Amino acid sequence: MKRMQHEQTELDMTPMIDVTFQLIIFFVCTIKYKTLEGKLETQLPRDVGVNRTPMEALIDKAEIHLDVDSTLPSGFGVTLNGRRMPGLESLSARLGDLKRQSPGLRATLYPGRGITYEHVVEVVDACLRVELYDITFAGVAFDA
Amino acid sequence: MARKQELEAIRMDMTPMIDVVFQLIIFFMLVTDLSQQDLADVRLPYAGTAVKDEMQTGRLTFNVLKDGGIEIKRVSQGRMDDPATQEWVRRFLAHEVARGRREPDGTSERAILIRADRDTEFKHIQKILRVCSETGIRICKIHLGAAQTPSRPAADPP
Repeated sequence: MKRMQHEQTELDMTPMIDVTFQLIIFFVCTIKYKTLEGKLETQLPRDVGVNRTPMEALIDKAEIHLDVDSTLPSGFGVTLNGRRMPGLESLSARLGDLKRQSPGLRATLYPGRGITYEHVVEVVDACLRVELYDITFAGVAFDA
Repeated sequence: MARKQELEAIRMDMTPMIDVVFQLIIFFMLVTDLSQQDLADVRLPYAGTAVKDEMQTGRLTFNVLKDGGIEIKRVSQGRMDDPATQEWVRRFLAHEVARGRREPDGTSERAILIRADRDTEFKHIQKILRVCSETGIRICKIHLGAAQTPSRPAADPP
């Protein structure tokens, strides 16, 4: 009778271990931990067509050209309104000056051939550092 | 009597298994973020001014890989160099925009998040932006994905 009681309390652990291991394998294979990501907010031009109104001409613009320059440590050069900038710090400082003179300043980026996403993000970052939020990209004006 | 005893002997207590299974499920549900399932593995560039990206409803996410390939919701859609891919993106965006509302100036209310590898040529992204600006689509809220913490300098692959 005592022996029978012992047999009754014995538990087969196999299914539990099976299920547990299968779950662990599934989650380990599919898991993607939350990463710390941010965003830079920009926008495309809202105006339609190539017609520029006189009102728009009054708004000060910061035309920023990016081109590949392997002689620079960053690998790319920046020109602001036709003036070559020695670096991103200078670009930020100059944009800050322009922003103080004209609070409605709008930056337009002209990425040249070979320019990478990182280069563009660095320039956008330089603009945002001086609270210049109105950033657009050239060559993507709305169709008429 | 002997048959009844035999039946009782093979009964198994499922409680520990259910406990463990539920605890595992709860643990993995807490550490897994389903909202980031449409984010591809790309090396984002660092930007000091990048703001915390709160997941927005209705925002579209485009992952652009190093070779210019586009990935949307973990599905590769080809490169923007390919006219067929451009056409697919055009139809996809037009369909998505039609489901959303428009601003008073006619532009779409929807935003687009572009997450590209840091070494991706910008011309690939520019092609997406060009489609965004087309008549009938007109998405002008563009979010550029960036890392909030600088990554450790890694050795370039050989």
